[in-house]
Amino acid sequence: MVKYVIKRIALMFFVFFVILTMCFVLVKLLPQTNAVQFGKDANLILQRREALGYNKPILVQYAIFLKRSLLQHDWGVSEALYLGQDVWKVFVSKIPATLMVNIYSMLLSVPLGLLFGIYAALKKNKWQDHVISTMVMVFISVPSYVYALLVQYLLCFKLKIFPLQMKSGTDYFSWAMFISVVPAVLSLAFGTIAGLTRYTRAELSEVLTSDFMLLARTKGLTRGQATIRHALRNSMVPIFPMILGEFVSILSGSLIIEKIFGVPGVGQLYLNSITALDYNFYMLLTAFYTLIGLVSGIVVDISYGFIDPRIRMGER
Amino acid sequence: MKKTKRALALLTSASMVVAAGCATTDDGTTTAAPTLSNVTTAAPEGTTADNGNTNTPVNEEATYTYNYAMSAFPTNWNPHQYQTAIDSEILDYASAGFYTFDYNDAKDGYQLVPSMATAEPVDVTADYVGSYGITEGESARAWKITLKDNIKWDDGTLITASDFVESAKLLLDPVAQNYRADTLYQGNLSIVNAKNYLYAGQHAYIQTMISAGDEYVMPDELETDENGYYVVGDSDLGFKPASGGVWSSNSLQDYYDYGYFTEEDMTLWDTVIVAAADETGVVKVNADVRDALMTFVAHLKGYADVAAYAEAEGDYASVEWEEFLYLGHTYESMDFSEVGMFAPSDTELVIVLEKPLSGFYLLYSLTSSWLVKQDLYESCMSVKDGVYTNTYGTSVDTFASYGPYKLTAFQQDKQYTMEKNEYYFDASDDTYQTTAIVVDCVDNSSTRLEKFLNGELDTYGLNAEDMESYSASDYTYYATGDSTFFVALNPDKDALEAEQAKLGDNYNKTILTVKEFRQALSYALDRASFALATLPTNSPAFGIFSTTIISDPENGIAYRTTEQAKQVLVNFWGLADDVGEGKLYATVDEAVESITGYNLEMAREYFDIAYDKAIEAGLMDEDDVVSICIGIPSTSTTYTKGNDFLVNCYTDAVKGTKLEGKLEFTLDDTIGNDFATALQNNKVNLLFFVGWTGSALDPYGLMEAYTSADYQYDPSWDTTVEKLTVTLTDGVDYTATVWDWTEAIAGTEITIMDADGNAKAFSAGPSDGVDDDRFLILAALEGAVLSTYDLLPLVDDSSAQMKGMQINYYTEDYIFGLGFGGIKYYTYNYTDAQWDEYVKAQGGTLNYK
Repeated sequence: MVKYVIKRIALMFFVFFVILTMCFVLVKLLPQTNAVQFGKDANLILQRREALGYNKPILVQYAIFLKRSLLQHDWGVSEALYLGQDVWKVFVSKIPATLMVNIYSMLLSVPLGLLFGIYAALKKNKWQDHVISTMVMVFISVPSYVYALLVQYLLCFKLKIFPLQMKSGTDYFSWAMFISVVPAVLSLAFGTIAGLTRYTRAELSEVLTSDFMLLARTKGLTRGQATIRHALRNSMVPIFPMILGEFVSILSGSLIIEKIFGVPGVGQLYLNSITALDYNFYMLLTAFYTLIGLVSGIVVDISYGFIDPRIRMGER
Repeated sequence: MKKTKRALALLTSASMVVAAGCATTDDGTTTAAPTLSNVTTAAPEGTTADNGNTNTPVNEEATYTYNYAMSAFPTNWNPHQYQTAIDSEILDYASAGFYTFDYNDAKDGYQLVPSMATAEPVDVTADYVGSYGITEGESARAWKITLKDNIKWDDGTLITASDFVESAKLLLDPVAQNYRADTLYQGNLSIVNAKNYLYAGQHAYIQTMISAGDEYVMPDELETDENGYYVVGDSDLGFKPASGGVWSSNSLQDYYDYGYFTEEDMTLWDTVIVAAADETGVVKVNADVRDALMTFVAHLKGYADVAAYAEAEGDYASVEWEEFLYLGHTYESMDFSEVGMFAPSDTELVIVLEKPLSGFYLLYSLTSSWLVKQDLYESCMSVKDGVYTNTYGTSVDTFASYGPYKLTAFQQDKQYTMEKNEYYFDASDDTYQTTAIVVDCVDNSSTRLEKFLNGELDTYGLNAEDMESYSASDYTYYATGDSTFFVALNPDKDALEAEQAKLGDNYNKTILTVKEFRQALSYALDRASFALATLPTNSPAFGIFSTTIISDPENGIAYRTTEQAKQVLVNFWGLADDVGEGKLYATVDEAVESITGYNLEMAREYFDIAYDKAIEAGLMDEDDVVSICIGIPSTSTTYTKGNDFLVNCYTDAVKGTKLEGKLEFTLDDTIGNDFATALQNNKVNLLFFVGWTGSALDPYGLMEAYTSADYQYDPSWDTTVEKLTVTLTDGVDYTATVWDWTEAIAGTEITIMDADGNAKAFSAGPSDGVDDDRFLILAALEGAVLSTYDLLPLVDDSSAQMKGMQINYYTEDYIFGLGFGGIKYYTYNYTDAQWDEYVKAQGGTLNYK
């Protein structure tokens, strides 16, 4: 197992390096329009670019980037989105808002998704199952921004239960802040709840009809005992990695939801950094999310063994 | 001169605008000139609104918060570095100018009045004769500004004249290369030696060897120095591989990187160019470099070698490579004391200018300042690996105010709050009733509207979708912007032929070079319907300057209201023969009123003429289909609607003509911010919603955008060759090139010829005292630009905003420089507490319909 983990980690760094290199080269190949204005001294901009090393060969720029970012943990300053500001500091300052909204959303959606899924599986083909399945289809089919706008219009504007936008400030644990993020949390949670419900129902339905479940019942276990001790654990094998994946995504934020509810998080940063050709920001985000993605892949793979002890590493 | 490849990416600048691409604020402080709205504001029931003409008494205890939202947020408002209007939003409240816009006595226009200054500047040029290059008899070169003695930072620290000098020194810091350093040398306010100080010690290659109007030099006529490097006058010549020179964004390095070079050329590039580059990447030009550049150009143009290219294109093939060259210039090291700015005393600031400037434009140039809090500024500076960084003006802690409000809270991309600055030098009881300003970042317009209807915002900028509900509201105010948007065409035959060839047989694009075809496109355009279909607040445009452009800023006279400007429209729209007693229109005004720009019958007539001409000239065959590629920077709703409108409009217009069924359109939505370059290269053949903004008070300077190859959407129109005759105030007709006339109104001396061939030196800059001539030239140039039919006026930019019930605007009309009164003059019907109660009493949602 240890050998496997070490091998995976070594491979992870290799993949990380390859992705980083590709992204750096590709973004540098994008044409950069001269941002010169009518009546402006264009040389000021050209000299700035020269100072930033933008005119050096791409591989030389890449070597400088690697040395600075990975060895000195200096990701540089933003040259477009947050002019002159340390990109790492800006990123770190925006992460808490995203984290808060996503954590609340996960805390709401995981239990509800599992509960609805279990309930629907237990009531399979009864009206309760049909109602839940219909709702699941609706929430999976409709894009999140549609029900985000609906939530905002109905709960915030018409009924005035919640504010239209997330509260400003950094008092993330205040009641006022909590209330202000409920619409965003709900909008984020709907899709996750629906997804989890669907998977849980499907997996559990299949497990519930397995032979070992019949054996468990004939051994004298109640339906509830058999479901919780045997069926649920078996059905968790594909569901748990999904939940883990959702937790990983709490760092990435949602572009649309953050836009609609005024969450000053990181959801729009990645896209904006590409649009604005803010190289330093783009590379920081690329490195960060690539690393998170690769680490989560390893964690998910390892988690299989803990959920189902029958799953073991094969050796050639 | 041939300039088929003057593809200038610099046109994709903040000044060059596309209508639907602008970030919006709901605040009504954007500038535009006098107009237009006669809307009256109804006060909410139970209140005592004062129609905005007097101020409500201020309750000392009460708070009056002005709330609005922006779709994008400031990120860096360092006065030396900020780059966008959004960034400068905070500076509008937290800083001040030496002079500022205020209402005239009649409150129907603006005047410039002292702000940090105590009075108008005093001309002290005579005191400095012999210094700063000032000679005896000169005037308006050195000005003394006397400052108020109570200007303070928001922590109470006194600001003296020397702080302005020190701030200028920081602005011009050669290490910093601040984005706004050119504030002190570019444009009207050009401080002596400011640029030299900035570039001190550098041997820089900044100016291209070939600029608009310059002549090329045949290679065998170029002089060399003792080392065999070419020189022009005192300047050596440099080639910067990554810079495109006249080719702008299309550098040879790009062609190399993107695989346009043959293997032989790549070898030549590596051995001759790369090997000769110095540590800054510049290649000094000798015969080897020349030959290599000539070869690259010939190959890129599709010829086997330079000789083949020369056979096809003549001398131009031998000089085109010069478009990549830059003139070397060494800036001598100098002390800041040699820069034309100093402080004789704590309240006296003297500025010395490179060229005379006086009157309105002097004061206007001093409506903002470069002041920064020196100790704080320096603590924000850092230089690492040669890269200068400064975080001044990026947070509450890194910024100091000296304006009416100070920044008290700032959360990135969320909200900032400003409160009254108790140390502000110009506070008075009857102004600045607003106690706090809260600005939210709300990207979604429907959310902004909901917040506005909930009473959380005091103003809301209306979108096209809102117009049906709120266009007639008593709370809706209209403001005309300073931009005219065009349909832009670039009838460059070479480029069109090249693009047409890519489509294969039976496709045609070169019909765009036939003027009648472009005329037909203009007449077929129902501009009013276009505005309704895209942005309903816009109005049809018929000239290159909108109604807000002011040609006489001293007296606030809008260009379009002048007789000459009206006559330009009458002539251009073919109504000149219909004006007069007993004719269709009794007066020019009536004729102008009648212009719609839409005449389908005439359009069809011109389509037929164009078709015949194209066939006759061999431009197209009878079975050809005309294929026009429309370019849009993004797939926003506005652009999509606009594209649909144009396609339908032109497809209908050719029905019943010889082009029926022979006109098709394609769409390129991939050009992004390179939209201008795409047209200049004819990668796309038609742009719409393009234009220029930001020169409401200086149409003379703005004219360069239409006539300089550096900025034109249609560089195929060679203004250095095109002659234009203007009747000046002496009644004599004078002729010069369009470019020369443009230079003349910028203050450059040109040579003009009368009908008898007599030459005369002439200039009509802002300080030449020939304002009437200057104005006549401007009108003539507008006519010349219009008559190319390369830029078809489409719509004038306008906006609509709703005012909340809590506040009162000072004026019902939008006044340039002042808006509807701005934060200085807004008054309140309710305190914040009363407002909350009022909104609750209305059920939490207000009715603004």
